[in-house]
Amino acid sequence: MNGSVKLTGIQARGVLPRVERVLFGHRRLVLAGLAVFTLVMAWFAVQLRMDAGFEKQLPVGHEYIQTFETYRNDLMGANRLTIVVKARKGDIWSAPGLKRLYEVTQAISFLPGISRSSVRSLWTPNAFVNEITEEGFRADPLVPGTVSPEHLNDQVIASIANSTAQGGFIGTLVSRDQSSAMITAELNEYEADGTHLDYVAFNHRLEKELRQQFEDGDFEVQIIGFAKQIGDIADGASAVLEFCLLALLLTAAAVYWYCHSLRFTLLALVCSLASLVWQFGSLRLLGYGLDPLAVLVPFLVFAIGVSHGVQQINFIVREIATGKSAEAAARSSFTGLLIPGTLALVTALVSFVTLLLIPIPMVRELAITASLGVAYKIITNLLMLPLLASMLRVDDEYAAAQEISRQRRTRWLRGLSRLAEWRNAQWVLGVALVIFLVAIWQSHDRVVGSLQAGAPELREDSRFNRDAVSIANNYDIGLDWLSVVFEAKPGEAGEGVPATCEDVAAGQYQDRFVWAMQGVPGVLSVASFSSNLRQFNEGYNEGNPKMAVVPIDPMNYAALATEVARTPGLVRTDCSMSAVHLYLADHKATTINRVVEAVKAFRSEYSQPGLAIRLASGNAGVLAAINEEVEKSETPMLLYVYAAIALLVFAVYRDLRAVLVCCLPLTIGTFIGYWFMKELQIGLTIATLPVMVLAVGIGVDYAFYIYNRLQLHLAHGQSITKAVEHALLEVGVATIFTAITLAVGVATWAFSDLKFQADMGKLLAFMFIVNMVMAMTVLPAFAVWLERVFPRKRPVRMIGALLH
Amino acid sequence: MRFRGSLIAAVLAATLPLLSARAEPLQTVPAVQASNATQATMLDAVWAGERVVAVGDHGVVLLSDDQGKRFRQARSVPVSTQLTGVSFVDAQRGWAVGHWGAILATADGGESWQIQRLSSDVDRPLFDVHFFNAQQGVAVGLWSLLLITEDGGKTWTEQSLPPPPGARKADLNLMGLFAGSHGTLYATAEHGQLLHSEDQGKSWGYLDTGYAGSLWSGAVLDDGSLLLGGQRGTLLQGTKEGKGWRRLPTHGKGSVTAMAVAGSRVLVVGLDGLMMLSEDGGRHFQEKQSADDLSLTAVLLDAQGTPVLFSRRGVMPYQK
Repeated sequence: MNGSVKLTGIQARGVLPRVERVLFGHRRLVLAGLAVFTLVMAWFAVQLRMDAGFEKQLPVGHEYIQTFETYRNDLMGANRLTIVVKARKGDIWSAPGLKRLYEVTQAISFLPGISRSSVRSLWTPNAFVNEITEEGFRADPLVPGTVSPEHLNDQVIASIANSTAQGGFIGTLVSRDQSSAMITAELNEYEADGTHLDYVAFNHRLEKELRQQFEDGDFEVQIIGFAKQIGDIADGASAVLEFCLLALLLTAAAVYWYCHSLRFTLLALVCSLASLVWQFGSLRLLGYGLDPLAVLVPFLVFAIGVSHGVQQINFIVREIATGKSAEAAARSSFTGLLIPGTLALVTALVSFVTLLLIPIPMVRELAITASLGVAYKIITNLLMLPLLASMLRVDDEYAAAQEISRQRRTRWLRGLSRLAEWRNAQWVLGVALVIFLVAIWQSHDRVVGSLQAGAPELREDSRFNRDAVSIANNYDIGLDWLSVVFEAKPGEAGEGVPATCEDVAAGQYQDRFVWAMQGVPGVLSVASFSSNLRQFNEGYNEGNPKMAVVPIDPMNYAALATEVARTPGLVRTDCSMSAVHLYLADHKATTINRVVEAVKAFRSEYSQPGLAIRLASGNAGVLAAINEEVEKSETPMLLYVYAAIALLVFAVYRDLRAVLVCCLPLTIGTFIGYWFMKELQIGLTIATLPVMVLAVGIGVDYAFYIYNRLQLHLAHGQSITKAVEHALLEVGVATIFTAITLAVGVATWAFSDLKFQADMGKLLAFMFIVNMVMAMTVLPAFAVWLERVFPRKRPVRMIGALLH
Repeated sequence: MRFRGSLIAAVLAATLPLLSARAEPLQTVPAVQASNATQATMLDAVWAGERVVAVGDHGVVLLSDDQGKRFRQARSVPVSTQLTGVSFVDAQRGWAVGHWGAILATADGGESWQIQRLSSDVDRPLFDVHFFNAQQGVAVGLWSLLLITEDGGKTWTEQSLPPPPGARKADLNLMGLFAGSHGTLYATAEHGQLLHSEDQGKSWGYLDTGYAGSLWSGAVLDDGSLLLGGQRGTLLQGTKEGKGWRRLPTHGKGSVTAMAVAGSRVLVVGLDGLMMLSEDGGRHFQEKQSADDLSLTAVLLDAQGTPVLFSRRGVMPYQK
């Protein structure tokens, strides 16, 4: 073809040709070895199971998580299950309604992993009503012990309803409209014998033994909680397989359309799938499962593989078109693409490795498995593919047809390559600069965390989120809460200092804290040790609002504290810890941050000797920790990725221009991606952060492949404009084709049941296209501009690193 | 009434004063300027000239210069404990009382307050205050705590009460104060007792209403007869001499927290949304409920008879 340069002659003496000779000389042996390895890995891969965990989502060593870990048995855990039994008609105060509630309560108590003493509903003894009578204050269970679910009459039901209302349980145990009743229970992730709870199986039991069994035409069973959420995500994630199959078919069709050869199509897919098998096998060998939240990563790796496969096929077909045999074409493809391919894959590898910066075990697991996958790609796509290709037989007719098809396709690329002319390049760069600045401006104040109520991973209209919204609307408890711990500092209790339960100053301090927090926007309501002291003190004093204070008499204070301690999650019996639960309007990072800042401000403005205010438990506390880690890690991660790119490019090309030319279009692409995220309200989360980082890693592929050709042509003495034109003509079609194929493949995820997957799909598809457009327009224009502004003093050298 | 824990503690504190000695005395903290000040529970409200002054939880004092349409928080209050009662003698000078036995005074219409008395070593809150003029005032609280001043609050003297009829010592909680037309001051108390003083609080006598529960509030009606509010919807009416007590029929079961009189219009409010309105000087009451059964805690009527209401959740929206 035009301008194609024959390299084989001059490369004869390098390291690369020697490697080539060895490998291609023993190709049957090498391929047989790879086949055996694939079979072994496949055996392990089929044993891989979906595996989710709550603990591994917690950032290790984070201040908030330490608080969460320290007091997880004292507080309402973040790993809590909430079940609501709702009458479809009328209210819950009927014999069948209460009976159904009883049955569900019983059924929950006997599920594995449930902490039985934590189960709370109208029917459990830990739900009692404090009644103010002429004799004083009395605590009775809501449902008297003498009442059985079989013998409920109107009178008994009325009295239960009455004491529920009196005890202030409307809005907590019974919905505000009284059409439903709630059961809460804490889940232990690890059983006493150390076995790990299987969330996926647990969720199936919830569906089968609770929902299917107790939901019918009369009653609805709503279930929310981490276990339900992750279980539903896992179920949704299994549909990922279908999407990936669809993506696979689309990719196959596109590759076929591109190369008109079934053999080459299969070649690309087989090689990509082989590394996927290796990756799954390794996961299993490492003892990991497939995490529902990370389920897309293997397929991302697969996509990267296809992208490189297409570049290989493009090279081979191009060589065949010039009249070479399949083997010779495969050999030159191997030597020609090993460097840009390795560069690209090592960059992707580095992108994944940077994820290790985030101290969240789940993300680290993802980083390790994805890095492995990418490392395998170097073998499957840069080695195995050309080796296999060299064994194919291609006839002259195919070569001739390819040449014609190539000519036809590249015709319109000539128009594009004119962008590299100086006058056009200026325009391109001008427009790019404007877009860059607008993107920077627009991406300001991006969202961190998620925006919608309920589980952000699931769609708004999913059963889980509908249940969540229904429960949030009908009960006083919010779905999002931040627990702040007041800790009596040990070691400071010397002589003369009152025992902690008589430390009335602590109650006053917390009381002021609660009042300060009630004024923070985003805090809907507060439940705390001190507000319970107030409530009890008021109750003991005829319910007089003028006695709704935290008492300052040590004995009275201690007596009330003992009473408050009977309600779980508020205070330790020795008063060494008490809690303030702040119920929030939502779990947006901005809301959580505002509240966290308010807590920190109070903590630094008013300190109390012997007391420490510790952040934070509750789901919002965990989210705050995750958000902080994600936000904190993002910039360093991207910097590391860029540094890796710069370093690799510089090491290979020994030219700062190359570094700039490769990085600038990517940077613009990244910021356009941020803009896109902000416009579509896609928050920066554990799910989207890898996408952004990886988008850079994948985006750089295009730059490498284009720049590699550019460098080659420059080294052969062509002018920059000509070199750009040739480079674009040679790899342009493959690049555009790859980007569109990948984008179409991941865009199908937009229809997934899982919101985060849909977000990732949209974002990835967008990033593939943006990076491609940048590589095809800004990169050449920028290369031309650099050559003109900083003219070279010496001629361009051949790619050095591996040749001599 | 069951001030159970407190009572035990008080007995112990009296017999073994060393035991209650604290390593560090409780420190008062000035009330903070809060964005949600109007949502704090308000426990008493009075007119200071044209201005409404309301006091309540967290040391919040709210001021309104437009008859209760809009409120703002007082600039400076030196305590953040609950304030329970307030009294003004003119548009400038007023006093507020509350927990920790606090008595605060203002000379600028409630904008800023100074501490006159504070005793945080005993848990004996004050529940109400009344000033006859700029010099003479009375404050009442837990276990017959009775303080009087003759010098505008510079010095407060604890006044001992005679034991109620049939009892050995005076320990009734004094819940509220209200003044009659001829300088008589009434204090509502536990066990249906109403105390009265004709000499600015120096000496007191008991009037037995025959009611068993606690009386939280009271008022003198247009015709001079007395109206008292008790627990669980109890409303008692008696002659100006404090005799002939009869119970007014009510449906509401909320304890009566406050009442306001403007001519023949009488508004009584209480817990769990209790609201009773009379247009004929207290002869007949019409009952209604506040929205959400919200507990009402203080009430004022302006010259036109428009109510200014306060609840457990602070200022109630202005009502026509």
